Amino acid sequence: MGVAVLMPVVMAIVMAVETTIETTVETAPETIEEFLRNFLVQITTLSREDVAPIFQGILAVLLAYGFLLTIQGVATNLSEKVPRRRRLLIKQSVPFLKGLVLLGTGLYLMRLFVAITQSDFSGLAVTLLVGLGFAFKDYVSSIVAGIVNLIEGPFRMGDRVQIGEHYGEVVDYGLRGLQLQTPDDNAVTIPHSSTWTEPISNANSGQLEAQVVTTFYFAHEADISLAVDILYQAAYSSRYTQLKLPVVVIAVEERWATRLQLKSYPMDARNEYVYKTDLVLRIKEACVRQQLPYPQMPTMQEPVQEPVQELNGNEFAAG
Amino acid sequence: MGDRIQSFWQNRLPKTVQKAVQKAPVASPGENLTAPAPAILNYLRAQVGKLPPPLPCQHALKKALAEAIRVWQADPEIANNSLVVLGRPVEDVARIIKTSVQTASDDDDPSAKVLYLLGGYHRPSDPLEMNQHIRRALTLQNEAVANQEADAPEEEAEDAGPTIVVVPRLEQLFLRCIQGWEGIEYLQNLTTRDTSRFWVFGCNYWAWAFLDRVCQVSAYLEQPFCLPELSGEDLKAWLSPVVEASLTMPESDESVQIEAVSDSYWNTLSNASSGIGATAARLWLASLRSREKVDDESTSGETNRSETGSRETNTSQNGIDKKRTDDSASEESGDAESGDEGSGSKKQPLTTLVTIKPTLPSLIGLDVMDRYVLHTLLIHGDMTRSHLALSLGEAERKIRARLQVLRREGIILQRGRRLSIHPAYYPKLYSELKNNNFLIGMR
Repeated sequence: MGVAVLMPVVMAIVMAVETTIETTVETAPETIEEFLRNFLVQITTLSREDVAPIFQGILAVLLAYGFLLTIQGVATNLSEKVPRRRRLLIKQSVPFLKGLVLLGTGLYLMRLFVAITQSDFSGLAVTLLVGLGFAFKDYVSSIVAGIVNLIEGPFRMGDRVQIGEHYGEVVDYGLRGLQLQTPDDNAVTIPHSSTWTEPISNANSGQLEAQVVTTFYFAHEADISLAVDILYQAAYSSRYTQLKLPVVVIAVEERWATRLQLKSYPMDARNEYVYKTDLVLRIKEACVRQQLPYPQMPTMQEPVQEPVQELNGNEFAAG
Repeated sequence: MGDRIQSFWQNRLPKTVQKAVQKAPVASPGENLTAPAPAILNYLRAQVGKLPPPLPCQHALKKALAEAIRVWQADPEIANNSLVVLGRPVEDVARIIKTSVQTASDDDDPSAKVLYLLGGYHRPSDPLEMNQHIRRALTLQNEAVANQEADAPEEEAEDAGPTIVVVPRLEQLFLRCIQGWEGIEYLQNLTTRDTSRFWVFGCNYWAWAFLDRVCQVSAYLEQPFCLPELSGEDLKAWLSPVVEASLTMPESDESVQIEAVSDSYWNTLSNASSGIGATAARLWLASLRSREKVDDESTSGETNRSETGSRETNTSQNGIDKKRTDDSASEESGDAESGDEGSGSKKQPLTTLVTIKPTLPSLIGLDVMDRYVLHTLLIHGDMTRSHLALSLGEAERKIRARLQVLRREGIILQRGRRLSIHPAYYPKLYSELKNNNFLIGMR
């Protein structure tokens, strides 16, 4: 953010210095000493009207920075205090509010420093594009990717996404990148540009709920209909379960066991892991009570098909 | 535009302020509004508890029951043979059903045989035994009925009317745990199979919503009846035996008189309580203030303050509860009594109660665990701490601290070992849990 907003101010200062140099050169200095003397005179005799925009620009940048910090701080605090339903709404408004502040500040600075004609604009645009293209290629790519992501909306603030190898909740959406909070409570910053090429897997797409898959294995001699019933009841009895959404159990026959997948939704996607723990504890307790046999580990001479790994490392195998 | 603003400042605003101020009684000079003594409140609470269920509920239920039985009797093999009476978790649905069914059978069809199944049943310590208990209770009831019929003369058997089986508290017959609602599944299957009897179930909305998700109960017991919301007029009529009676405290012989209030008070009470009788009764009790005479000298300052504006008086009334402890309130009322005796008066001590605007109690900031606890309590009606822990999948010691906080705040009531939700908090809890994505029970 800092570089993008400071650029017009730096440019304004450079332009002021250039103007001073031009004026100094116009007086046709004979020696370098004379040139420097004239330059210093020009600098010190800059009028108040010449200097005021620079201070206004700096003030605008500082104010914008303050606004951005305030938006982030207020949104983070407020979203954790309001009812769950409004949490995502507040979080999702952060990138737009930040964008508005940046756009407003940029326009103000442009108006303050750049009084350009149409022909000047073409030259400036080309210069800027070429300069930015070389100097800030990745940076600009990230900014553009951030804007495209805002418009296309493959994920929003508060969503639980997997980008590349990283999985977590989107907790910050900046100009250059986004920040994920992983289940291990690490903050991972990912540049927006990586979303050009990396696949994005979104678990909840702006909703509070996200599907959780819990996998269990039972021996072939187990009463599978009873096991399925237990899995259903475990989901319905867990306090975390969103009862408004469907609960499904899928059975898959493996060579050495029957695999059951319980697909259900917690009321809050944040509870994904405690929800799984609750389900596993309930199911294991019921299986022990009903004496449902777990599969035996296969021997080395008997290679078996590896179970397919769940996305996001959501594998919870019992037995 | 300017005229409208001027009109607002000159006409509407003063009227609004005046209206708001007039709603609350104003302490006249030399008087003070204080919280009533706890003994008086307990006595009044007991009197309200003795009131029969509100008549609109009884009438509506009797009408729905008569219609359902008529349809069923016309074609017992095909027509639905059950009626489910739904109410809020804080309403005493069982009592409403019992009173209504009894009066309906007495007045409309004396030949009807009413059987109560598991009326006062509470969950056993091992909730998995519930299914067996339900089956055993049904078997015992069937045997008793068979014995009665065998002993009855033939003419009486021929004239026998419909048999109505009442299961007044369906929410007590399950627990949210694995295999915890097998009894409900058994009952719903039995009801559809046994078309020779008419079944009446009582349940709360939250339990019903839960059971509908987990065992599709509404597909079997497909005729729900929602208890009506009580209007201001209904509440006035229901509470009038307590409000209008001249009450005498049994222990102190102290007379309690409650000043009459306007219809707008009852309408406000109805709105605040969402038309729930139990909630309205609690809010009414909370809105009572004792009007006490105070010495002119000691309260000249207070008099001056009350003269400066009724708004301030109203604020100080609301602050009274927090400043005064129950003990000090009792002591002060005792002083007032002794003062009367000292003046040589032989009249009974009289406490005059007035009402202030009824408002819902404020809810503390609930944490995540609190919401799960409260949601579980609302689904199950009332339950023990061990059942609560089992349903939540937590150890008892882990929920004990939060229960203590919720009890201290008055959100949870404890009667013996059983925990339940305080009726006055229900409307706010409803909104709170709804906004936090919980499955809620609604009409």
